[in-house]
Amino acid sequence: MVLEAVLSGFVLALFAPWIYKVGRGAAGWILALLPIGIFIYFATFVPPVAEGETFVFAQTWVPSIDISLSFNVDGLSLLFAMIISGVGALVIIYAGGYLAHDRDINRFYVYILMFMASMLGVVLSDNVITIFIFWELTSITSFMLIGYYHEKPESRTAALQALLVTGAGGLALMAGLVMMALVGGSWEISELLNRGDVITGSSLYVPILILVLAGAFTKSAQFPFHFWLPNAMAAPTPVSTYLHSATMVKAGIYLMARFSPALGGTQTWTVVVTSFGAVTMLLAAHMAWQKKDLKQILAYSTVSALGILTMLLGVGTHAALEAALVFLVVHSMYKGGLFMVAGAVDHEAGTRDIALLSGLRKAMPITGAAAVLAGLSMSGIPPFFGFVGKELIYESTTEFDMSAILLTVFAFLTNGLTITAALLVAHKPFFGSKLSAPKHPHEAPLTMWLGPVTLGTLGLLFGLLAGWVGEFLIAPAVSAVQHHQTEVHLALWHGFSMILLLSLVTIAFGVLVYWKHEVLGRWFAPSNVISKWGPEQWYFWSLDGMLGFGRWQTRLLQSGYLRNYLLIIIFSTVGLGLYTLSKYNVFSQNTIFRPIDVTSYEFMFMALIVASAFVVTQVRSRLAAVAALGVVGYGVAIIFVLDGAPDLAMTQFSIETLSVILLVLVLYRLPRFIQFSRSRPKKITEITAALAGGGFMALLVLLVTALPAQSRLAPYFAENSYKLAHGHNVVNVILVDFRGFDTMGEITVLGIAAVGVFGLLKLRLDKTRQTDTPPDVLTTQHQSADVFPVMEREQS
Amino acid sequence: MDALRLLTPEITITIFAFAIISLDIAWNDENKSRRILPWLAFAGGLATLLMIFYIWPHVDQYNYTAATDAGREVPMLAVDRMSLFFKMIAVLTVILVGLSAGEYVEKHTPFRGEFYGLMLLAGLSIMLLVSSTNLIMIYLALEFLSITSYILTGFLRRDARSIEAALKYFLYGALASGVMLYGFSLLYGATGSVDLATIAGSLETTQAGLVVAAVILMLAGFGFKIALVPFHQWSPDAYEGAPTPITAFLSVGPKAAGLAVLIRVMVVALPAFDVNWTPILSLVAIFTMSVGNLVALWQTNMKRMLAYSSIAQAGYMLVGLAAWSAAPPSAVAYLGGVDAIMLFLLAYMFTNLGVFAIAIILENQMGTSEIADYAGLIRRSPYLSVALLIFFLSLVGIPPTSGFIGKLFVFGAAVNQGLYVLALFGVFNSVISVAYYFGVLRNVFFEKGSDESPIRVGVAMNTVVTITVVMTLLIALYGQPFIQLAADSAQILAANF
Repeated sequence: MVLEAVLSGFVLALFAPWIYKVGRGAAGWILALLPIGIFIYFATFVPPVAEGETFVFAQTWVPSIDISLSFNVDGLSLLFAMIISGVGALVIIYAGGYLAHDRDINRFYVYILMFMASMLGVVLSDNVITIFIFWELTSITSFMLIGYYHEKPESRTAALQALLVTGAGGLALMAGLVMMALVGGSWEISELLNRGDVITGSSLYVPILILVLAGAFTKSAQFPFHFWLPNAMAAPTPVSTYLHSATMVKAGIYLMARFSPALGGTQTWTVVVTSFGAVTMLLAAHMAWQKKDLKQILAYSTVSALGILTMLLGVGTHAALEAALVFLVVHSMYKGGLFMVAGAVDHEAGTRDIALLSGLRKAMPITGAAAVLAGLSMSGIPPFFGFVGKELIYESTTEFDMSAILLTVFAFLTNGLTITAALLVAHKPFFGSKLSAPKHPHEAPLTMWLGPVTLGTLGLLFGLLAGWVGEFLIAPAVSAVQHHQTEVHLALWHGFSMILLLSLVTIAFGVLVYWKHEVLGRWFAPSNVISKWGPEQWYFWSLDGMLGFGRWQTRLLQSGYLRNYLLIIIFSTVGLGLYTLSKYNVFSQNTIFRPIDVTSYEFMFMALIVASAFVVTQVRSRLAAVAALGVVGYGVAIIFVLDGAPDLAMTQFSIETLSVILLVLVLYRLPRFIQFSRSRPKKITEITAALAGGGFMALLVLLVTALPAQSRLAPYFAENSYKLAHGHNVVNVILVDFRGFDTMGEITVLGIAAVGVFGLLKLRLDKTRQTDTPPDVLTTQHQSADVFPVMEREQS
Repeated sequence: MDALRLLTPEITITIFAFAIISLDIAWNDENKSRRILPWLAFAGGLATLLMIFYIWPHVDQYNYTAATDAGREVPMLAVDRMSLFFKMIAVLTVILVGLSAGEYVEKHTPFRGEFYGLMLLAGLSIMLLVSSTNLIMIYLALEFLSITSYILTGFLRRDARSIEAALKYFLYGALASGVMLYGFSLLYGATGSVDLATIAGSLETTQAGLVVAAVILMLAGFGFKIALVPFHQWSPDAYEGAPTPITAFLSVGPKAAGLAVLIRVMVVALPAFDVNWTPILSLVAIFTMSVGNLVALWQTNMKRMLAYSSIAQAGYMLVGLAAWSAAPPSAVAYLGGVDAIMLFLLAYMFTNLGVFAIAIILENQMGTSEIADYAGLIRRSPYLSVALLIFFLSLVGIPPTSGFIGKLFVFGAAVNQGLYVLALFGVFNSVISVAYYFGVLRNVFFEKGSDESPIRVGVAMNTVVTITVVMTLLIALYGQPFIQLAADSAQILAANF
């Protein structure tokens, strides 16, 4: 059933365009029925899971490498699945109103349903490969969704940026997961969680941790990978609501929570995760209140909230995990609601600039009320659920055993600035005197206020029913993260304590900053250099760097000149060969400087060969060059004769003759001869290449000839030519008997080649150009500076 | 089975190739019957494929067909599962490329039959090459493949670029095979044999150093076919100039063939020599992946981009070989390396041919293959756009596509042997590749095109795209049979230890 629940989203996505065609404006409502159904289905798991049961559903998929479609419903995955399906339903309804007049809305439904299904897959999977598959699917669907407003260049850039950052993290995650599975000896997550001590004790623990955290941090926008999330605000608001506050960015949090029994509990984990979380939450909270755009404020405060969650998972105590899961629920509700509010304001008033927004409460009373509900929860005012969350955060930071004071100060500043951000989003646009907005504002339609009102009210209800929520939702989730059954008692009222006092001071601090935010904003403006020199710049630098490096090495390696290509082959084989030869110490033997038995006429022919090879490079006429090449070939053939291989020599003679004739015939059709390498450096490279190539081959020949000859052919032929073929002349026997078919083949080939040459000579392709002007192509190529022109190549 | 029956695939494809060429000569230009020649080639491909399937169950161990050399039984061709697997790849490539070439060939050349005949012959040469167990046979098959490739590359003989591409390919290839021949003769000189198995048996009289030098020289020839860095430079120029269907063929066929022969030489001839090949193979793999990907980043021509991307893909495949070479000889681990390469290759074949099919469709319609012209494709043909998305996901290695399974196996093999740095380079390169593949997709999905007329897709093309899409997804979603196939085909390994 869980498998069907996950896959149903993909199936419905296929039919979404058709449903839109039929349902039109009501399509959002119709499509939302699926997430509502999934939500109800998962809700039925709540009572048994609260009792401590877990449900595993497995379906074999690729048995030979142990990939199975297994799903695990425990407290943690259930909580996430309900958030995903519940918020999903509201977002789809909301999008029906928000994008009502958009021409691509059918595509939007496809993407968002696929995204929802993938996200459910991520949180429910119990197999490391399956979880990665769904993880990457969320990255791809989010690429499509962020780029949805494709007319805008910033949407397209943001889409690619988000994909590169989270996709890179995802691949790192896969490497980490595979290593973890190999170390832990299982591909099932539930098995791996039982083997935490094996994994943390292994020598690969630190690489695994780094890789898995790289995946989690990129997805959950932790510093220094946070920059993609504010840029992703180029997406339509329903996407920001769903992906960038309630669900996708929490996938990293889910991952850390899920694997904390396997990877957590060590000092490395605590230090790394806590400090990344703490730095992220404070930096982002500081960025948030200085922004002027509603969605930017919400985006940075989301990054800050993700930092809080990461920090709490790093601390990892019972209180911290309790705080993390409560805050997770709180945040999904208020942030989802506020994003929808921001979208509604943008939709109705035509701007998201808080400087232009004020006094909208008269025109948009319901939206305003929803904003206030969410804002109060965000600020952590009792009796909202946010208050419970904030109390728990302080409880866990003050108990942190490494540096409680520092962490509490970080949390205090973060919480205070979060309140400022809440006021900027929920108070500033709706209260105060009315300003003239670009559009005349009026209340949003039902589809667009249903979501924020529901989420805002839930924030209040959960606060009032904190004990019940703690027992049925939070306790099972904390048990899952701690990997043993545990209890959670939530209450609004903890009595008078340091923590309550801290909460009150936090509220005062937040309100103060809000009150003076314009003045303070000017003071703190210089601190924004971080965005100039910050990680986003590193991203662009590394992209540029990669491009630049690519271009540089293309120029180097891919010049288009054949001459350079050939030089590279020669140099690289000689280099690699010499390297290995020296590594295997072949030179140490007495092979190179040994006496070789050479007769005087062999010397003569060798000198002739060398001299004619040199002539080839020096003459300025093709005919002379060909003739000199012929001399080289004949010289080699004579050496064959001298060494007792007349058959080989015969072949060499005939091939040599044929090629000289062919070359001469071709030559007379070629254009004027040109000297290829004019400049001195080019000549030096070529001389070096020639010497290196020739020298290397000579060296190899010396090495081989030092070995005893092992050919079994010579004795075989000597022994058998009379016995088998009744011939005394071994060479003759080989040619006409042992290799009779070879000889026939050679003769045939030569004959066919001759016919071909004759055909070519007779061929008159184009009468007009065959005498004076040579064919087009060759002319073009020889007129260019070097052997061949660079192929036309694009410049980026 | 007797030798002749084991060679039925080769015989079948030869008969069809010559039948096509003869009919092409016999029928003059006006003869309408010529239209059947492409379909005859298609039938030939299918028949060959059937023959391969027919032989498959009979080949359950390391099986030789014998040919005689100097009066003694010396095996020249091995018909084993590994060679049959690669033959299947070769024939499928010929079939898919042949199907997608129809309209292009009709548009650009007057020679219909010759093209298909040469394609089948190129397929034949790959089939011979992947079976060769003898240095001479390897050389002959390799040259056969090269010569058919040169001709096909220069097939548009009125197009200067096509000619230039062929000429560069030819001159480059001539030097590379020359260097390779030096390697062969060195190996022969050092061991006294041209037969791979005999070479393996002669280790006590041979110096490892010489063998290594010989293999490095041979690597020039094999690397040229696979387009491994630093022997890759011909490929972008040749890919851009060649007729697009031939580019598609070059990006799969010769690569598979080169890889097969490299695997065979490494696995059959060399393991006996106590040489650690892992550093060299890893180094070449790292360079091949990185150079391919980094240069692909700023290409604006689809064919050229695909050329570099396929260089990078060959680098990933080499990771599998490096992993194999790092394994202790007795380990038949489930993430073995060679089976990973085969699985990767199978996935890569369908995916890459799919991408090229789309490139051909668009080139037929628009006359160019510039990436900028892909803008707004989603409006012109949602089907092709989604197909392209699936193919690129597969090339990056993102699930749920076949490329993911391939990379999982290849990198998994590397990790399994403790080659973490190599695997990390692979992963990092996959990230780089996201940038350029999704750069194209960005154009397809997000940019606004100047032309909004729908793209017309013919029946043959539609078949190719559908087959490749289905296979790209199927290998990922129902991978078991394919993984089994790759593992069975890699049993050449088990037979050697």
